[in-house]
Amino acid sequence: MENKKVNTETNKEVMIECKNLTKAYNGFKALDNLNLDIVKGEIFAFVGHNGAGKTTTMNLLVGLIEPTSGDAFISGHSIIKDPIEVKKIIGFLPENVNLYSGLTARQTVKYIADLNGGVAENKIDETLDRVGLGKVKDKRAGEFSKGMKQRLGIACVLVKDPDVLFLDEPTSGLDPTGKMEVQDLLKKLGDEGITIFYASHILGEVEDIANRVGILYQGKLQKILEKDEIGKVGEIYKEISVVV
Amino acid sequence: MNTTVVIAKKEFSENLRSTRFIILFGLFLFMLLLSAYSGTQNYADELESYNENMGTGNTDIPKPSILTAFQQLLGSRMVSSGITIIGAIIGIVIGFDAIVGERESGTLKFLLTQPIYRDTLINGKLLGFTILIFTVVAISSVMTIAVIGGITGVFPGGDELPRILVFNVMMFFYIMTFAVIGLFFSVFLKQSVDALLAAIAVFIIVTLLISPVATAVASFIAPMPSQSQVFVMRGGGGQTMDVVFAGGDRTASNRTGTASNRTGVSRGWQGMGEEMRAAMTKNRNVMQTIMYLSPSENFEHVNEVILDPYSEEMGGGREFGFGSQIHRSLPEGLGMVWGNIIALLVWLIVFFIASYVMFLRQDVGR
Repeated sequence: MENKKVNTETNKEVMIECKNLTKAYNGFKALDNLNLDIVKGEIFAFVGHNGAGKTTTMNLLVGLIEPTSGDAFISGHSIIKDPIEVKKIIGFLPENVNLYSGLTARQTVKYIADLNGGVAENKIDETLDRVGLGKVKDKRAGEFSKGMKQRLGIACVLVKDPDVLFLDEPTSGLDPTGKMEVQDLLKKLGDEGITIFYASHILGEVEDIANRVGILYQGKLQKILEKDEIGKVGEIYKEISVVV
Repeated sequence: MNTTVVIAKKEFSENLRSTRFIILFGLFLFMLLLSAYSGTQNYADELESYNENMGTGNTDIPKPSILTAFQQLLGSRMVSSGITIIGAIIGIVIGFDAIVGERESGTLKFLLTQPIYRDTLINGKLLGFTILIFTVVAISSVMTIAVIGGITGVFPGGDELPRILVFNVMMFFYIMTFAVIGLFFSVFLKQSVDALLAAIAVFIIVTLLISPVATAVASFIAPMPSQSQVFVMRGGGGQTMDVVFAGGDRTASNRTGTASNRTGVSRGWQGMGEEMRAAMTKNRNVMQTIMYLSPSENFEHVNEVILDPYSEEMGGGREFGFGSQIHRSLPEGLGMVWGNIIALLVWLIVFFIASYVMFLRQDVGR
């Protein structure tokens, strides 16, 4: 059931709403009582060290795992009650995804599009052009560099025109050129008004891209930095880790 | 398009492009066609023997069927045939990385965040296997019939075609069984290399090790009389058949035999002492029960009976190519091996259900 919510301050639709979202494994809380609203068109970065709970949050929001308690809503759809509805409107790029090496870029994007009910043929080409892979669309993904593979992953995510994009460490394992390519692409997508939820453990890279940054530490959201504070994310993170 | 079909289509086309699949399928076809060629030689020999008998006025021998050539596809009774071994490996190769491969490459998370249910993914994989294995069996079957028919000038017809069809259906289920065993380990284990090794270990146990294990267990539970007995029977077709019973083990050096020497062996069995027969029957029953655990054994046994209309049961156990000259119809043949067919299908169903349940309950987020 859809239950859309509007943020009264910004008058924008809340695309991601977490309500006391908690995930525990054998008593250990990987994510503890997360409450968060992310509005339409926002690029929200979640930062924290490895094991802070970023991937757990991401997995919960995209419906890969179920919360121990609490709930979250994507454009008003509960991740517990309407997981398929949620999956229709989101795009998720997991960390270090290595798409089908035997398929061409075009076949890969088409496969994902078909799983989402299919799109027009020219939409596939347009999406590949959008991520800069138009000229290599008939090359097998196995021949791609890591940066190209990541862009192919983003193309697969974009082909379904998602309302919300979830990216887990999208620049992980990329060389500086690959990182720049992906960061530029994310900025471009942000300019197009797509809501992006982005997890990273590299503090510096979120500064350029995000509108807001959430600092996650030991499974708890410690602080949310507004746009004007994002430049100080490194210092604030250090303070938090010392205090906690 | 239905998402199960989308997944199946991708699975099918990806496997068809895979080098390892192409090599194995090529090897499978090569073995099959080589056996088919060898089968045509057997058929020619039997035809020659039949003509000789006709010339000497011995007219109670049935004319050899083209099925003789197809029987050779199963190889010798002593060892599993090439198609049994390579067919199983093809199945394993199709199945072993179906899920674990997606998990290792990160695409499992990617797929499961598309608007599909988990069972759609595993059903799509299974449908993909089905289409792929059906293609393998169909191509192999057409090529085998073409080679045998091309060389001998005789194409199967009448009662032979349905038997060949059953053989192909069994081959399909056999390869599917190993694909699903591969799928099970693909869901259960976290690395594709482990899944491959586990599936191969199962294959080795149920194909190569089960026979000595069955023999040992049968000897323990139902020991044979201590004195070894050797029967040597010479058949009218000029072929020698040695049936050796020693400590519960048995070998038959000629699996098919001709119609005339079948009668000879049947008489030998009937002339055997009552006590010896009872012991052998008990021993054989224990062995057979254990052998039901082997998909390879079940596959070969069903096809031996189906492709040899003259196969018959002896003393509560089974021997093939021996016995009387009674021609058994296909339904009668199927009646003799229904237990093996069910045993083969049980493997397929049990491993698929186990894979299915495990996959639906699995935590894919970690």
